[in-house]
Amino acid sequence: MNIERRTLLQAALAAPWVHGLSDLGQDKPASRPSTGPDPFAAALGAMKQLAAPGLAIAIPETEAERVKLAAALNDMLESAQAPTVLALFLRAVWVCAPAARLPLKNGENVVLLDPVGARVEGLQLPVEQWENPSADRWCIGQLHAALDRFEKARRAAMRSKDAEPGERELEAVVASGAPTPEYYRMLQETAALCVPGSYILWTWRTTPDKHVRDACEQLIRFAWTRPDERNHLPFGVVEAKLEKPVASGGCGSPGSMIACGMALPQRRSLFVLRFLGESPAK
Amino acid sequence: MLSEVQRVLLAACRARDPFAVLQASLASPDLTTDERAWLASIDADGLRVTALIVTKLRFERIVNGDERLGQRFDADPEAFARAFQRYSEEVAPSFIFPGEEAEAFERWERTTGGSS
Repeated sequence: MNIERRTLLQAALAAPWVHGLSDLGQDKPASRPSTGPDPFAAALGAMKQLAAPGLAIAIPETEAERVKLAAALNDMLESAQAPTVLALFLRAVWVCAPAARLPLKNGENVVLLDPVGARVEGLQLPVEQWENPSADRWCIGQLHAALDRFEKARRAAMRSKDAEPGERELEAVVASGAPTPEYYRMLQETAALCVPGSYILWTWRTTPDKHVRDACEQLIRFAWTRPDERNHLPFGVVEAKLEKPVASGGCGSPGSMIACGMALPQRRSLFVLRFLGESPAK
Repeated sequence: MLSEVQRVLLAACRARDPFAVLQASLASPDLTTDERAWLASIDADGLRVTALIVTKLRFERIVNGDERLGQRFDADPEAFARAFQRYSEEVAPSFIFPGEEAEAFERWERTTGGSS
């Protein structure tokens, strides 16, 4: 059995979110020399740079389990709409790595690492638990809980009493809420602060206020779709940047050649194509 | 006649199952024998991809034609896509410029309640 071409392509697209994910698709990983950078080293570098915890998943020994895990992770990445799933990828740097390189203990296949790569705690999440893509699946709750414990301890050790990045911005989002262009612009700017360990993501996990939680979830969605270097289009494709709306554009006017939207690869279009492609016929 | 061929193809491209709509339209008495044979030879997957491209272009006209609509999409892509899907099925593409398509989408939402 080998992973399907479609799944492999998805893995390549999703790679910025899960280091080493595309390696899961290889039928004999060890027999093929890697042509790219070492995913585990890249993940450690990202953790250090972002001061983020890491979630390291041991690459299963059997091909069948590797394929299952790759497919399950792809499903999470490609079809995730629930903030519970999206936030999980925003809260930590993810990596799939050989078990021998991870500080695992008996029976564990996932390990939570601190930003310098030291073991925090291990988890037993069998591959079967990653299947069945629903936001409330057991493994998602386990991973959030582990990140919560880490984050709670980290915050307990914090000394600064100053407002954190994102604190005042979140207050402004909650206070506003009017669907104006300015509001959406504020959402876009504030979403950039939804990084691992951020005030916004922690507030989303802990606030009892539904209004605040809803605002956090909207920011999480924006953070997920926000164009940045981690959210690539397929290889060789560069996103078209529209500096201004083309509503007033007509033939012969500035920007008229982009009026029909042709050949303008955009993430929005990819989402809609996927939505339409997967939407069942009436 | 040509206008009937165009009508059949347009209806197919707006449907969720373009090939089924195309097949159902072949009985139209306004099609000539040659036109019917030509339409019947269309590849199902090819028609589906064509319909997706047409629909994608309409979507891009809307979100690029009105910045507010693009921002609404960014805020909740699935809800917007669901509303857009209904719009593309219910409103025939008859607009030249993106701004007109965006206005038509908003008008349709006001009239129908959008994604509800």
